[in-house]
Amino acid sequence: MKNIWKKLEAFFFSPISASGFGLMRITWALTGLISVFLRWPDFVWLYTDKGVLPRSLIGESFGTLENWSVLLWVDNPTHLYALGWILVVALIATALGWKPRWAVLVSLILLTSFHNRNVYALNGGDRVIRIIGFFLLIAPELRAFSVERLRTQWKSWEEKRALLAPLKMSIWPYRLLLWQLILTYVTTGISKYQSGVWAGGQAVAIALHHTHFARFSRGAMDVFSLSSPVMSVFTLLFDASWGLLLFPKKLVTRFAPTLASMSLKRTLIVFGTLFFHGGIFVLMDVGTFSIIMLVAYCGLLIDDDFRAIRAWFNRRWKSKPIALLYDGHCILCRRSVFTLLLLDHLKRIRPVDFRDSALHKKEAPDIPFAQLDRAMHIRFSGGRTEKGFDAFRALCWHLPVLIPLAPFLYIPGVPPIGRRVYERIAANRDRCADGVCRHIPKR
Amino acid sequence: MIHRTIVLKLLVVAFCVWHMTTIGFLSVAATVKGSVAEWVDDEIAPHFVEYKNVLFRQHQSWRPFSNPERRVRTYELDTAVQGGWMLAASITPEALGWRERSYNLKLVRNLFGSKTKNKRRQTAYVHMLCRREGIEPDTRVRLRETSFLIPKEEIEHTLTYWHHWVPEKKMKTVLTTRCPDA
Repeated sequence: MKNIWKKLEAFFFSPISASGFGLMRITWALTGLISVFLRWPDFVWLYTDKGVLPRSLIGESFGTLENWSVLLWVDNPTHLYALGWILVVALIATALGWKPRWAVLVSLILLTSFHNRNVYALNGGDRVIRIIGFFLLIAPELRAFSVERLRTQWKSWEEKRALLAPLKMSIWPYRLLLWQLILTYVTTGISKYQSGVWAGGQAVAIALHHTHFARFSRGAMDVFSLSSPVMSVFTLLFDASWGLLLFPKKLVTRFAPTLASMSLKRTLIVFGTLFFHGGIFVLMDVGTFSIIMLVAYCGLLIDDDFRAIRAWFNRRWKSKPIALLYDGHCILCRRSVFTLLLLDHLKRIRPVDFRDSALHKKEAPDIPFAQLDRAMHIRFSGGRTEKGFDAFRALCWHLPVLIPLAPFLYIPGVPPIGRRVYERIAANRDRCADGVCRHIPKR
Repeated sequence: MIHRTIVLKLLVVAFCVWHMTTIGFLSVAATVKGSVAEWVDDEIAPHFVEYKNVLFRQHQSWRPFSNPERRVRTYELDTAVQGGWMLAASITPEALGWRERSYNLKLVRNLFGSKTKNKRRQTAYVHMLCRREGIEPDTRVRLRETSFLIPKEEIEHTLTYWHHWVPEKKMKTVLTTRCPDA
C-alpha cells in the first residue's frame, strides 16, 4: 500500500518548474487579447439581438448549463462593450500576472460567455483557448513571470544580492495538459486516417486550395500543394507519435532505438512548432488555432526542457560568465543589474559589486575606481571590456529577450545618442527622482 | 486521523483520474468513427456531458480537422432595383479584410454550409447584413451563393494538373427576404 502511495505521489506530485505554466499564462492571455480585438468592431453584429443571432433564435439550451453566458442578460451595446473592456483588463492582468488566479477566472467566464452567445463564429482555436484556460485556473502555481513574483525577487535581490530559485509546482496539471494534447492528436489522427484523404495524400492539397483559408495566391498554393502526399502522411505520423508518449521510454526505445538519445516530447514540440502548426499558420488563415496550440506547448516545458533549451543556445558559448561591474551603493544601478539578471535566461552574467574592494581587485584591478564609478562595465573572460552604452549593447546579444533590439543599436547615429543618454543618466544618478540614490561610505 | 495533506492529495488524484477518464471517453465518442466509438457515445459519454459543459465548454470533438472541406462557398447580397438586382455586399475572402475574414467566413460556413439548415437563423443573418450595410427597410434582397468543389481522387499532384484545373462554379439564390427596420 505504501509503495502504491509513493508511486502515486511521485506521478502526481513531483515538483516541476512552474515556468512552463507561467509562459503559458502570458501567451494564453495575449492570444485571448488577439481574439477579442479581431472581433471588437463587430461585437454588435455578433453578440446582440440586432446581429447575426438574436437570443430568441439561439434555442432552449441558451442560458442553461450547456450554454451558459453572462450575455444572456446583455443586449445594450454600451453594456456589451463594457463587458468587453472588463475582459480586456482581465486578460492584461493575466498576462502581467497581477492577481493571476482571479484574472484567469474572470477572463475564462467572459470568454466562455462570448463564445456561448454566438457559437457560429467560433473556430477550433476558441475551443482550445477555453481548455487551456481551465488548466490555468486549476494550476497550483501561476506566479512565474508575474509582477507579484517581481516584488519578491526584488526583495531577495536587495537583501541577499541573489535572485530566488525558479518557482516549483506539483506535476499533476502538466500531466492533465499532456494527456489532453495526446488525446487531441491521437483521436484526430485516427479520424484523419479513417477519412482516407490523408493516407491517400490529397488532404493538404484540398486544404490549401480552399480559398477561405489560403493566405497566398492560387499560383502559390498550387506550388505548395505539390508536397501534399508527403505532408499528408507526415501529419498522420506526427499525430500518431503523440501516442508514444503514453508508453515508458524504455519500452519505446526497445522498438525504436534511435529515440534512446532524444526526448520524444521535445522533438514533437519542435516539429509541431516549426513544421506543423507553424506551417499551417504561414500558409493558412485558421483563426487563432495555430497560435493557441503553440501556447499549449509552453505548458509542456519543464525543468529538463529549459535546461536543454539553455544548453542549445549555449552550445557555442564556451567562455566563463561575463563579469558585470556595478555600483552596489546606487539604487538605479542595482535596479538595472536586477533587470539584466532577470533577463539572463542563458546564465551568462555574473554581477560584481565594485564597491567591494576585494572583488574589485580580483575582477578588474586595471580599471580605476573613478572610471568604474562613471559607468557600468562588463568584462568578458578573454579580457575584452566594454562600458556604458557599449556594455549594454554587447549584453543584448546574450539576453534572448533583448536580441531583437541589438541590431538597431548599431544603426549609424544611434550609438552617439545612446552614449550621451547613458552618460547623463549615470552622472545624475545621485539625484534620482525617488530621492533614494546616495553614496554610502565604505564600512 | 488522516493528515489533511494526504486527504487533499487524494482529492487531487481522484479529480485527475476523473478528468482524464472523462475527456478520454468524450474524445473517442466525438472524434473517432466505428462501433467502439459509437458504443462509447451511446453508453458512456452521456454521463459526462454536464461536467464538460459546466467546465467552460470542454468540447472534445477533434473531427473537423479530419476531412478538409472540399466545397468552397461564397456569398453576395443583392438589393432589388428597377427590373434587376444590384450588388450590396460580398462575403468573400477577397472582399473581407484580414481582421474579419476568419470568423466571418466561419459564420457563413456554419449557417449555410452545414447539413442542418436553420431558415430563421439564415434570415436573421441577412437582416443583420441589411442593418450593417444601411439598406433601406422593406427593400427586397437576395443572398446568392457561388460554390465549387475541390477535387479529391482526381488530384495528380503536378503543377500542370493544377494549372489546368478550373473550378466549376455553381450559383444559386439561397434566400430572398425584405430588410427589417433598423
